[in-house]
Parts: sequence; structure tokens; C-alpha cells
Amino acid sequence: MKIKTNRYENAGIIFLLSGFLFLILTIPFQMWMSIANITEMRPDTALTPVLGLIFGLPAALGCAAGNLAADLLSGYEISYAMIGSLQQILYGMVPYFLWRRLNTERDGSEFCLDSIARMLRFCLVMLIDSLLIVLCTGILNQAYSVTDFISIQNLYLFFKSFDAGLLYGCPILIGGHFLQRYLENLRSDERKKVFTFSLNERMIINTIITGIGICFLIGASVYVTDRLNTSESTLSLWGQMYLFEMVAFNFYFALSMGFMWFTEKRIALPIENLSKIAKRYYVAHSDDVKRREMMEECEKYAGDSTEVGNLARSYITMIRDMELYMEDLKSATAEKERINTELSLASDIQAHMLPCIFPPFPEHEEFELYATMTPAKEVGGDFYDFFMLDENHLAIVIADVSGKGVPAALFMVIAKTLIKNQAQTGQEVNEVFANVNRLLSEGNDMGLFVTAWMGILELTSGKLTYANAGHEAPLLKLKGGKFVYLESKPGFVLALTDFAGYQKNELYLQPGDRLFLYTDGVTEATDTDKQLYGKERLLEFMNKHSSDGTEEVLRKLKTELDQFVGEAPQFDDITMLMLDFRKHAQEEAVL
Amino acid sequence: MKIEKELVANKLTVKVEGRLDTMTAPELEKEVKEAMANATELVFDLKDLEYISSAGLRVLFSLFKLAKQNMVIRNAGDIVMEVFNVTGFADVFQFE
Repeated sequence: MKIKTNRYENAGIIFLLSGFLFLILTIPFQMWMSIANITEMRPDTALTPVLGLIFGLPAALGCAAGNLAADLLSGYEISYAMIGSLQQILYGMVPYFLWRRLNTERDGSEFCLDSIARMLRFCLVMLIDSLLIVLCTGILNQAYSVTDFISIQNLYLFFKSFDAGLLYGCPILIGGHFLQRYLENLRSDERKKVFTFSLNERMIINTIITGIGICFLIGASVYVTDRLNTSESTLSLWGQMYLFEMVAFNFYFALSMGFMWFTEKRIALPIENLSKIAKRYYVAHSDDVKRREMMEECEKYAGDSTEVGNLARSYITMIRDMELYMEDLKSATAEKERINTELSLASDIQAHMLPCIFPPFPEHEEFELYATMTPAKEVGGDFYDFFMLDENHLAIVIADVSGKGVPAALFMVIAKTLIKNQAQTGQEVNEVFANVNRLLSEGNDMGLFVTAWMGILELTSGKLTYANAGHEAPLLKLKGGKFVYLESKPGFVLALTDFAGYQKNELYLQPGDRLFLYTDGVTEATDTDKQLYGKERLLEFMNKHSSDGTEEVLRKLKTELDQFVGEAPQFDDITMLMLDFRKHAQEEAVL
Repeated sequence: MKIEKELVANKLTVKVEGRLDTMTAPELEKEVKEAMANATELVFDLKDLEYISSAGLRVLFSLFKLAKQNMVIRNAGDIVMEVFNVTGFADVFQFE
């Protein structure tokens, strides 16, 4: 119901506006430029077919009503004016039906004149309508003895109707279409969408403006010349004006249409097609059929010697280059994918090489330990290790291989294996390091090295023997006290020279003592201001959390480091191992 | 990282600024190796070196071997010197 009401309301508004506009345009001709007493000769009547073409019946009725009012004001006979107005309805409705018959688009874009084909259709509609109205008016005027059917006035009338129809129609249609797009743009979310007149529309507007100028100049010169010759009839004056204007305007208009047809065919359409190709290229490039169609479309213009040909040739080159590039990219991506898969496999293998079941030795209540390793890249050079040498001796190791990535990881695997093998032969820690150093330095052309700290804990006595090969000093908390750095004279890093010696140190742990091993990933965690986390902060953190369990402390420290680093990337692997000595083992239990 | 090199009569002085880590160490290695073609003595000025990682130590050691141990380190700051101490490189390199 509501829609219907709206439709009638709209029709009423169109009716009123059309009539009003018609009457307004009539006034100047009525008041100051009276053409004898034949209203049909006034150019404003050409408004009817244009408004009729767009809005249909309401506009045609409005114009008819406007015409009736104007005719009556001019002092026409009522019956003549009535018939004339009925003709106006016909005059308005014929373009309405013709235009819809000729333009098959129904998407709201049918009222635009954006191509020469549409422009020609519009001319054809106006031509047919003008012939029709001249026929009707001619018969009416003959009947009322105003003019003969075969007369020069009717010829003028025809050209007036046709030319004025074009002069009104083109700007109204183009302006209306622009307004429509403008309103759509306001409603849509993408306000910034650029819209403007097309090249064709600009040329048509230009032609119309120039045409109006020409008509005005000719009209003015004829008017002045005629006044000098003191012609007696305004009718013949307007007749002459129409004649000159008609010849000049139609000639000019035909020329312009020819020119526009040429530019449309050679410039506007090719560019439009090429731009469509560029738009859908991304979607269509993988489809062979569509791709071939695109190339054919480009090749169609490539032979052209104009700029359009240049553009088309550039397109062809671009498409071919792009395809080569995409092939390259595809294989590179596949290769990268393969490497990534292998790296992640390597990372898995590496992760499983480190003991990761906690608690590791549930049968040993004498100690508790927990360790983690977080690599900076997929595979890292850090490692920790712990293993029982026999029922009474626990070995713990932490190490850092110089550099990162695959080379460091490979070196780490060798170092870890060597340390464990050497330790299991029952050597002292310093001998283990000396032997591992020698073995690693053989054939170490890359100059990679390992910093390592290793301790062996005797469970019955609590004796801890340890050696340091260039590694950070661990933190030690002796029962009841605070954490201190377990400084010892560090030996040289492993793997660089074949003769380095290492010092053995020892101390006794008591139940409740705690040892924390770490790599430089902890102390050298760097925040966005390039501040290092540092040994001070680590010491403070450890003292603050000395009552928490081993796993809990390590988890909290990792969180603390993440917060400290913030947005900055993790440069180095972060590896930590914590050992709590609980109680001495019974002598008989380990025998 | 920024590297400045100066060659005076077989003595190459290299000034290193910023961070010497996995990302930047290969560049230092390449540059100094090239420059060492005309030098027999190597001096590192580490006054403006903020940080050195194990990758940086590796490069220094390989250059140390390349210079046939004719290598001197000058003006190392606290953080850098601590790394040399901890890793035992302090006993290997010569310092001024």
C-alpha cells in the first residue's frame, strides 16, 4: 500500500513540476519574444518530449497542462488549445515508449548518453517525435486555417522541434545521470568513490554548449540584420532564425557526432576495454581460457599505431612478464615451503633430543630438577642435559653453541653427544671438557665454538664437582641464605683450540640448596630500548621467588623475560635448568 | 652496526659500533677479511660496541687466526669485557 501511495505521490510531484517548468520557460517567449500568435513555434515546447522520455505519463500530462495554460494566456480558442494540449500528451509519450524499445538496459543506466550509439538513438527518437508533432500540428493548423499544411512554417516547426529537443535533452539526460550517481554515492558507504563525467559525456556537453553558442550568435545576427531591414513579421523573423540556426547547428552537430564516433571507437572504447582487462586480470590470470581471451583483446589493439596501440603492447609485455614472475614466485614459494617443513622437522628432532620428561628420575627423592629451552629461530644452538652416571652420580650440563640456525644445531648435536659419552666413561668434569674440546676442534673449519658448564653431583655426600668452559656463572643458593653467582675461573670455550685445559672445582651441597643454570639468552634478553635484562635483575628475581618450586620459578622467569622484552624480537635461545638438592642418599641404597 | 676501517702501514684499525651479533657478524668478517689482504696487524677499537654475542666472538677469533695472532683489542666497555672474561677469550686475545 505504502509503495503505491509513494508512486502516486511521485507522479503528482512530477506532474506539477513539469507543468511549472513548462510554464516558466514559456514566460520569456510569451512576454518579450512573442512569435506572432503561434505558440508552437516557441522553442520551450521541446521540453515535453524530453521530460516525457524520462518520466512518462505524469510529465507528459504536466507539460500538456502547462501548454494549455500558456495557449489560453496567449488568447487561443479553447477548442484549439485543448486539441493542441492533447497533442502534447502524444508528443511526450512517443519518446517514452520509443526510448524503452530502443534501449534494452533496465539497470537505471538507460538515461545516460555515455556512448555514440545511445546518442544516435536519442537523435532518432527526437527525429520521429518531431515528424509526428509537425504532422499533427500541421493538420490542426490547416483545420483552424492558421497555416497551410504544406508551408515553410511547418518545416521550421520540424527543425525547431528536433534541434531544441537535442539542446534540452542532452544536458537534462547527462545532468540527470550525474545527479543519480551523486545521490547513489551519498547513500553508499564508500563516499570517496570517484565519479565523474565520462569522456563521451564531456564531448557531448561540449558540443551542446558550443551549439547553443552558435545558435545564439546566428539568432542574434539574424535578429539585428532583420531589424535593420525592418521586416514586418515576427513570424518570418523567427522562421529565418530557425532556418539559419537549423542549417548551422545540424551541420555542426553531425560533424561533432562523426568526430565523437571516431574518438569513441579509436580511443575511449579501447581504453575502457584495456582498463577492464587490468581490473579482472588478477582473478582471471589462472584461467587459461579467460587469459587467452584477454591476450586476444590486447592483441586486437596492439597493431594500432596510436597511443592506444602503445598501451596495448605495454599490457601484453606486462602480462607476459608477470606470468614469468609468478612462475618464479611459485617455485620459490614451494622451495621455501619445503625448507620450512624440514626446519620444523629438525626442530622437532632437536626438541626430542633434550630430556623432556619431568620429573626425570622419580625414584630419586634426593633431588628435583626442571629445565626448558626456547629457541629464537626454528632450530637453536643451546642445550641442557642431565643423566645419571651411576646410582650415586647425577650429571647436569648447560651449553650454548655460537651462532644460530642449522649450523649451530648440528654442532650442538655433536657437542651434546660427545659430552655425554665422555662423562659416561667415568672421567672427572675437567677431563670431560678437555677431551670434548679436543674432539670438537678437529675439523672445525667454521670456527664454531661451545660455551658449557657441567656439574656432577654425588648424591650420598652432596659433593658437587664442576667445570666451566667459558659459560655464564650459575646461581647458587646455599640453604637459608641468598643466591650468589658461583664464580670460578672460566676455562676457554670448547672447540677453538686443541690444547685448552679446564679447572675442576668442588663444593658440598646441603639439603635445601638450589642451583640455577642458564644461557646468555636470559641475561642478554633485550628490551625495545636496547637494555639488557642483566645479572642484577636475575639475582633479584631468584631471591624473590626462592620458595617456589623449580618448574614454577622457570615458568615465572620466562613470563618475566617476555614482559621485559615486550615488542622486541627474541635474539637468542633461552635455556634454563634448576636443581634442588633435597636430601642425602643412603649409603646402602647406592651400593 | 657501523664499521670504520683505517689502514696505516700494514696496520689495520677497525672501529666497531653498535651490536655485534648473528645478524651483523658476517658483515664484519667479510669486510675485515677483505681489508686484511693488505695488512699484517689488526687493531679493534670497541669503544662504541654495545653488545657482542657468541657469533661475534666467533668472528673475532677467526680474524685472530687470520692475523696470525697479531691482533689487539682496545677500549672494550664493561659489558663486552665481561663477555671476554666469562668465555675465556680474555686470556686468548691481547688487550690495550
